[in-house]
Amino acid sequence: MHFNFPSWGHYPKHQPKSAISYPWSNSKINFDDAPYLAYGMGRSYGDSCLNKNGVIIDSCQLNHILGFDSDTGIVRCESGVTFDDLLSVIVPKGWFLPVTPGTRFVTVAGALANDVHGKNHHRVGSFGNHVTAFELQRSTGQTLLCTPDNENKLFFNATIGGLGLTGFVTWVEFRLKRIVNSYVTKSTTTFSSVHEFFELDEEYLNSHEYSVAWIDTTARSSHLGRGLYFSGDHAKEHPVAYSAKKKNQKSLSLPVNFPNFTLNTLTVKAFNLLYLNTHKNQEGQALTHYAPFFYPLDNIKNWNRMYGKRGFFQHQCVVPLDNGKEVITEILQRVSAKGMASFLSVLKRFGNSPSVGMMSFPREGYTLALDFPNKGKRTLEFLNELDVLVRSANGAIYPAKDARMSVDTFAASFPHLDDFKKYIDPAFSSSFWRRVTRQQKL
Amino acid sequence: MIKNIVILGATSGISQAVAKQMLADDVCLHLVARDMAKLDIVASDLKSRGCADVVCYQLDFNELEQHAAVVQDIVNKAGVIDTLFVCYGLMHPQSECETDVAKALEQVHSNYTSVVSLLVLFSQAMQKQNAGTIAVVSSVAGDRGRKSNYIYGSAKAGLTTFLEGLRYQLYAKGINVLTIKPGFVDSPMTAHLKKGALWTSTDAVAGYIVKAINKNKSVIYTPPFWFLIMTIIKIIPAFIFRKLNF
Repeated sequence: MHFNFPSWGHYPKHQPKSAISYPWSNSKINFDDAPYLAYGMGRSYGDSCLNKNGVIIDSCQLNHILGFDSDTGIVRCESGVTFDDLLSVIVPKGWFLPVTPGTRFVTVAGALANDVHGKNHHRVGSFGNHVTAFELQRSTGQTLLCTPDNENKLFFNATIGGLGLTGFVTWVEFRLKRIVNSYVTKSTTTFSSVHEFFELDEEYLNSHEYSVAWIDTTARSSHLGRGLYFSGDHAKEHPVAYSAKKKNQKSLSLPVNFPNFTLNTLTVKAFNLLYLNTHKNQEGQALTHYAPFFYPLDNIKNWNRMYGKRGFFQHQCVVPLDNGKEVITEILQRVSAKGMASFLSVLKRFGNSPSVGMMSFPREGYTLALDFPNKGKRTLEFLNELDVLVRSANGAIYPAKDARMSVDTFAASFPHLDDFKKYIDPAFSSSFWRRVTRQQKL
Repeated sequence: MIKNIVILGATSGISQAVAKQMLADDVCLHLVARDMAKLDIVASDLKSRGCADVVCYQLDFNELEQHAAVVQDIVNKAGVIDTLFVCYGLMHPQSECETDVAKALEQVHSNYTSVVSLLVLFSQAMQKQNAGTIAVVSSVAGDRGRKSNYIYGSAKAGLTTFLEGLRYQLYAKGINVLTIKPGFVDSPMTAHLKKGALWTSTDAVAGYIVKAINKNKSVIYTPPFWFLIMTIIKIIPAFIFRKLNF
């Protein structure tokens, strides 16, 4: 059991009234209380993993791999198995996750509930596109086996990206991806403006399996949106053996919250400059272990404490291609003009594979993720400004990272919302859900 | 050569963590537990993680008359037992045991008597091998009687003393007996208790256990700082100890 149940952004700080641990995947919960919400690794940034005054179902004991066929690459795991744990099992057998977010400390059910995306979205879509089946426990006592084409297929579509609101997922089965070793050929290219990014992206996106850009949001005027373009592919030859862990991998841990003033415009500027310059020297191709390529921040445990006790906000939007370039440029301009420097800013183009979830966030267009220390009203107002821009372009805001979007923005982001509501389990809810649907506070 | 590892109480949190760390493509795990449905989940997990072979046995540890047949079955299937790991137990709230004789005795039976029965049977079989390890989870609760937990503690104290004697007896036969004394472990057995800073994960405890098995240690506290805590607790004079509330 966890000691407490925070979200990754440490904002808001909501506590459940109680927590139960789901002990075995073949057991059943007596749903005699409400509202329930499953909690895995707490990597959602805002309040979608919180359940103020409700009941948390902790899935940390559901950590069994129920089946792994190393010939076909089909794996079935209980909901609380983490990507970190799974990688240590599958990589030595020549398999990799079909889709992975920027941290491996997420559970498979968390990946399902948020229909997470990765650097390969333009090739393979999001996590839900690779799910073959899962089991859903409803508070009504029903246990539903959900697949993309059986009689529960609508529950399948509702649960993928469904933010844990359709019931409790006990296990998930999905397809892995073949690799020949644990390395990635990575190429790094610098670009001196966001305009240059768009050009570079046209050229690189289709020729590489993975692509993502890091943006220096402190740069202004002609340098606006300068940054680094990372692309990569799983290494082809057998230069090295499989290994789940990089040798001599050291991990750092932030034991306490940093003081609130740690991240200010100056330190963020200094960091961005340093980051840009270190990578400038690494321009070109390099062979790297998958861990630093996919999970650069996982080596610093609790890096979120850097933002201090007040926590921080993430703002991740997706804007359709039509006027995506203009809107992304406008957002970066506002960030830079207001001096709201974001510490880690990531820009990527999503491909056109349709998501299977009714509430999936990924859709074709440009996605930009920014983070901002919580400075109260000032930050909130600024983020609302960004939302207006995103909505004007028919874009969407990512619930997994949100702690503040308005009811209207949420509705505008998810056109299938009304359809989705039919599949919600009446005994399940979250702080996020009550906020964005304006339900009475508990 | 396939290594045979027998785990009694294989569905317990600590056992599962130990099994995950000891499995390999040349290891056969023999898992014994009462609940076959749970054991099946654990077995599929360990197989998926790359264990060469996993064999399951059903046994209610409290049913002493079933012990001999199951032990015989394991010995027949395994041939040589490289490691025997024993980790099962029962913890009723102390307050219930103070008023309920049946509950108090069940606690003693499960944590002490049944373990003695199984260890006598296994050590007879393992003596013939002239090699191997018997690793048994006891508890820091056996180091001193405390008013909040002395029934469970007394069973574990008995077990610790039994293991010490067994260690001396089997020393000449080349078998190492390891006594493991975990402190507070965050596991299903303790799911109902409130956790604080002294609590440790099953994975961390398993790490210490596997290391101690490989190094032929005699007695370990997991994590090691519990040795210090228990040393202090043991030297507190009774006239002070009786005023303490734990």
